[in-house]
Amino acid sequence: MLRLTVKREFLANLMSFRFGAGLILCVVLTALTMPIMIEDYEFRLEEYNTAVLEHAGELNGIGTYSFLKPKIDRPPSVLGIFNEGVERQLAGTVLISSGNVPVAMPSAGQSDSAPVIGRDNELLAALPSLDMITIIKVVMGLLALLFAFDAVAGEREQGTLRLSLANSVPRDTLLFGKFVGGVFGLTLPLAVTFLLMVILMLLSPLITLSGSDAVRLCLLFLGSVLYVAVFYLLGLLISSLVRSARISLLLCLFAWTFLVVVMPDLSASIAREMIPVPTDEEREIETKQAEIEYYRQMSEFNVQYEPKRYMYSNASQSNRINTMVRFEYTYPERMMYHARRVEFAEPLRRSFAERIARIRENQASRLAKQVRWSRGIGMASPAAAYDVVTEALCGTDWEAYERFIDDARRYRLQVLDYIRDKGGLSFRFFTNVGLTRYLEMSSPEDAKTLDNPEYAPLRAFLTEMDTAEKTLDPDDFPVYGYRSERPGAVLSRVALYIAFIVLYGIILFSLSYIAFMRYDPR
Amino acid sequence: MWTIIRKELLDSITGLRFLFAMVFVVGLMGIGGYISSAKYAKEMEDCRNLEIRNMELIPELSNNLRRLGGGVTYDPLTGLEKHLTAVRPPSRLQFIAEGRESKLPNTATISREAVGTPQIYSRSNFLFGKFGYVDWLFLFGVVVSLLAVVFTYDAFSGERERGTLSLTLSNSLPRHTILLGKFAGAMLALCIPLFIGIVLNMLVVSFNPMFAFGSGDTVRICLIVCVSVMYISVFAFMGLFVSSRCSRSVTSLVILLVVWVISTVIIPQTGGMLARMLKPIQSQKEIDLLVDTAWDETLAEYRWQYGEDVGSFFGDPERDKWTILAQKTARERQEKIRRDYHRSKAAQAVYALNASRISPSAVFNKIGETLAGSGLGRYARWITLVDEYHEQFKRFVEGEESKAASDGRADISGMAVNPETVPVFLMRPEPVAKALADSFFDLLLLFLFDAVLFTLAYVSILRADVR
Repeated sequence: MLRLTVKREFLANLMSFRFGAGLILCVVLTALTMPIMIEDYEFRLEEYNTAVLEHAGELNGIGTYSFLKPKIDRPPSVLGIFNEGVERQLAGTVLISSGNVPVAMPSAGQSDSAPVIGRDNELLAALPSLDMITIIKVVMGLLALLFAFDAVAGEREQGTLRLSLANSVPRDTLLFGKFVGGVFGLTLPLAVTFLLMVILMLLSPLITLSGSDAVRLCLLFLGSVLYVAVFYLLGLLISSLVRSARISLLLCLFAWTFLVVVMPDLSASIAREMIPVPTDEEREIETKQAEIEYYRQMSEFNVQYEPKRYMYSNASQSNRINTMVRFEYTYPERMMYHARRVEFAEPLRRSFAERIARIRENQASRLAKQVRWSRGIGMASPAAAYDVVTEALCGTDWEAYERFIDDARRYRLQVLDYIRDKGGLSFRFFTNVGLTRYLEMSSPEDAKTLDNPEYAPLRAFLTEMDTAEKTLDPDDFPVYGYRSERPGAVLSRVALYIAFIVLYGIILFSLSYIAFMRYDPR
Repeated sequence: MWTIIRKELLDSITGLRFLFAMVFVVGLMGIGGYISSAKYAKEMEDCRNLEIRNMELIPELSNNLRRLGGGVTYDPLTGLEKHLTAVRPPSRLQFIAEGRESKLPNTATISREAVGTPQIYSRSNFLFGKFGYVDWLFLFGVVVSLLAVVFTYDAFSGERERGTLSLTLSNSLPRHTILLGKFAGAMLALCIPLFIGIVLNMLVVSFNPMFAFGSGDTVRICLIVCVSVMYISVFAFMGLFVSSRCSRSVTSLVILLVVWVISTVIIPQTGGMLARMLKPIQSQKEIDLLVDTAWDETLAEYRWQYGEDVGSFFGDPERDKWTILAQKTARERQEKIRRDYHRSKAAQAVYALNASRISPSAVFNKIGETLAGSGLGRYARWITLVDEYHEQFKRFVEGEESKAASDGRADISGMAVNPETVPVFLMRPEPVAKALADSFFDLLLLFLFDAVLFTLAYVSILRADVR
């Protein structure tokens, strides 16, 4: 009996005008937007590839460890075509250095400790952009309600409900049959849309879909089916509550407008009002305090140890928290002072960078709190939960970016440890000059002082540098590789939101069941 | 005619959809008003603080003409640089059209040499990139336009189903009278929640002590209300047209919904993508490279003209003067590149807005933003004003310098100027007539939408089979 009801519902939907209209709309919109989205992705991918090559090239031929400041890049997510998320707002390049602990924030101001470098026109980022999720969320959500609004009330008006119930069909079978048939009918345009999307993606020579991407795509499809099923159930409930199909349609439209169109903006607006965020300036003041403290400690060190005889070198600028230094020559006493300074300054720089990162993180956490509230309020609509889930599956959400930043931090520690282990926190930090060249540049008096036993370490270093490789070997540096999150991990991260959508569905089904049980078919 | 209008109006307002429209529109307008006014108050406070800081900075800079030219000093307490800035105040009518104002830069540093790249000083959250505000443009553009469709989709198809259409037309009633009557009835029914919502919204906004309606605001608001009615009538005509073509009201609703989704939800979101594709701009990296080359090239140019000494300092004013000039020119060229780049970004964004104008709701948004004086248009105007101010500031500093030179003072760095004579940046409000003239083309476009759809509906009803 159930199979018969399902088949009947499915065929009735399939033959309807709304099915054709919805299917054509989905296909046309996908066919129109996908090429633009794909081209945009290819452009960003190319930009990323160039950046990676360029940044790798920057590490070639460096002679001192102070220049070992790799830049790491985050590839654009291919599934960003499906749901763009916040990817465009966040920069894809992070500078790795001792003076910077990367924080998941967009580059703020022009402070030279800004660890991330942006990639898009920020004025354009202020405009909304179209991705597949919008099409599915808006069009398929509407289509689901259009399928369901007359499922009960419409049949009552036509008089077929009485006829159906006159047979020995239990009401629950009929309702369940309608639900399954309706969802099947909706799955069809959804599947066509997904198929078209994947085909168009595969046609692009630059796009390769990995196994993980395939799993994510399947999960996205399942999530989308779940989403339309919930909207179908909402329509079914409304249809079983009222007696006229017109009123049911009206209610469905209002529900859809509120849940899909108004609620996302409204929940963001409310969250913005409820959770105040400090201005960038408050953070800048705190950051500046930390930087001043760093200068102070450095100055104290300089007063104590800096040799009195002045000699200009680039290294004199390195009081700033994040500067690169390289110089060839200064007199031996000053060389010794600089080596000592590096030993003193680098750990200090690291600890201050951490302090500054904590200040930035504090603000980032306030922003994240606003987002959590907005999501919480948005839970009133399954569309918001669906958005969160798909964003996570596409790897374009804030949490995925945070993961990238965490990796960047770990990589930074690796690089810093590498420099320390290689003995980079000494003369090699700022010079790679050999003894012969050094003596050529020295005045005779300075050359003589080099024989003093107190300068033995410098002499040893210079002698060693005479024969050693002048440039650092880039193959020896720690390597950074972007790791994408496993689909399983993503699922467990958004389990709550999925559970919420399922719960929404269960509640709606139970309510429709009760309403239909009490429904007067006359 | 009046009988028909009254019948249609009564039919509409006694129905369930009117009740829903009322609750929906009025409720959202109330909430939207509260959120907008709270946001405006916060932004206004931040803006005032910035302006006060600027006013305090000018006397400090005025003690030293050279420092004033640089437009920067250091705060000894915090160590922060204090820049002379041009601030873009929040738009007062943002409860009507937020125009994504909080995501657009609103401060720019000023020195005699350059205008700094505009920065955002606000409490906005970059993670909310996708979400807009619940302002009039959103509510009218999306919600009320949908209501217009809901109020008209069954105007003819429904009557045809019930059989009342042939009854009505059997009387001596011209068809266009019925069309206009139905249109007027639906529009009046829509205008009731609309106007109640507007009044409530403005009441909520005006309760905020930070808010004060300025001169010209009334005219602007009236104009926006008129444009909104014009925009909503586009969808009402569309509803009447489709309804007259369909024999079943469900079919007409489905068609209308498809059109509505495309024109209000889909098309307005394609602008950014189209602009990226059709009007690409250079990347930041290319600009950085250009800036570096400009410096090297300028110095090379001077070296070629004035000898190899250019580029180094010798402590001799006569020998150094070409180096100073070369560096000044180079810096100016660099600034020009940076400024042009920012201009091209702004142009790309404006292009994005214009590209989506095949949909009436994109046109409506553009007119609304222009008339309310917010959004990208206002931002572009601000940039122009800042450039003008920069010229004025530069002329002032140069004038003071030449005055000092003619007085025979060799060292101008320690020279003080009267702080009251230093020009201050002020964002002049744009005259309403200018805003109206700017949106002339869009108004024409909207009128065209109305005219075309009305004609279609008219022709269609004349030819319609009433059975």
